[in-house]
Amino acid sequence: MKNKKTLVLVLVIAALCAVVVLIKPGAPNDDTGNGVSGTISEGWDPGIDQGGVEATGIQIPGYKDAKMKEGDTTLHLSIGNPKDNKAGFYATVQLEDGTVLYASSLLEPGYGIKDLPLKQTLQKGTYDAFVTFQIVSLDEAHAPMNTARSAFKLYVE
Amino acid sequence: MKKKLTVMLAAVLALTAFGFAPAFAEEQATGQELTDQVRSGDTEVDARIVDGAGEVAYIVTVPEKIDFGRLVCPENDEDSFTIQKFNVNCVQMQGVSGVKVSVNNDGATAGEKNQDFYLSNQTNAASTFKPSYEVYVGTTKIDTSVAMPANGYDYLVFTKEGQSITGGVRLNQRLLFPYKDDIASIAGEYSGTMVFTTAAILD
Repeated sequence: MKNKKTLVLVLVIAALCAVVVLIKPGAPNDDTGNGVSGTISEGWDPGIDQGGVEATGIQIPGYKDAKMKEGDTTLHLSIGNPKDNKAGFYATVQLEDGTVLYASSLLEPGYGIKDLPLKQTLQKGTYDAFVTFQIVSLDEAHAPMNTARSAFKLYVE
Repeated sequence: MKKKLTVMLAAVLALTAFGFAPAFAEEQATGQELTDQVRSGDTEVDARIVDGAGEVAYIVTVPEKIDFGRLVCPENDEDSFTIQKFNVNCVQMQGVSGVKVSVNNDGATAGEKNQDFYLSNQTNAASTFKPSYEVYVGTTKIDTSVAMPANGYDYLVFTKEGQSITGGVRLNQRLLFPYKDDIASIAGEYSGTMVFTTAAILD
């Protein structure tokens, strides 16, 4: 009888453990599909006042520079798709020599990411880099359209 | 009773070993509590001074695609242009003195001449017919006969936000005339990709 009670107690504790594991919140992990995860979120704000300028076409963000430390695995670079756009983006950050540092999943209008998980670290130096925005249609086909590239200086300190 | 306590303790220890901390546990604040006996403490304060690095410095608009629509072969061997206009705008600019815009055909090679803009047959990949088209900034045609710079052919420079320029693309349907008696051989959906490259100009 005592053994039975002990067994029941152990089973109840085990069941509680299982519940705890199931309800524990997991870290957000948007797989970019390139083996590197990062959080793409809604409500991306380019951070500069657009001043009410109305313009046709697709809005493309551009950058002056970005900074990181040698060995860093994350780069602060605010890339996103302005909310008024009518097309999607696939964004890639790469060096002039073609080395890809980051590649996003589809960025719908209003979505972006500000701290990019990098595919590799860099040594100290100044690099010519680009954010390449492959513009695609928002329908299921995601048909490729024109491409825009924003050149910037990447300083690794 | 002792046995029960032992089992429960073992279970809790096992949970801790595997990192299964209770999801509803509150995070404890770190730091030193100030009391009458301890009148000062070390507090680490982190601050990030935003110097603009990594932030959006400007926004320009470019056309999402160029669509010539249905191309028509002229009856005679003569010019027959189809034109599509588009605008490039500087919506916002901050912390830079200008934005340079360059353009090239996707796949063009920097340093090489005659990196023309052209369409490819998306329906028949084996087709060798690739009609070229011209790109205009205002009324000035981009000269692709010269070596292409690293970021593409110069298109324009914005010096302040709110600037806009109307440009366009022009295709001469006369290119179809050699195939007039065998249009089926070049029939299909044609498309091309323009690459617009922007770069900040600093003081």
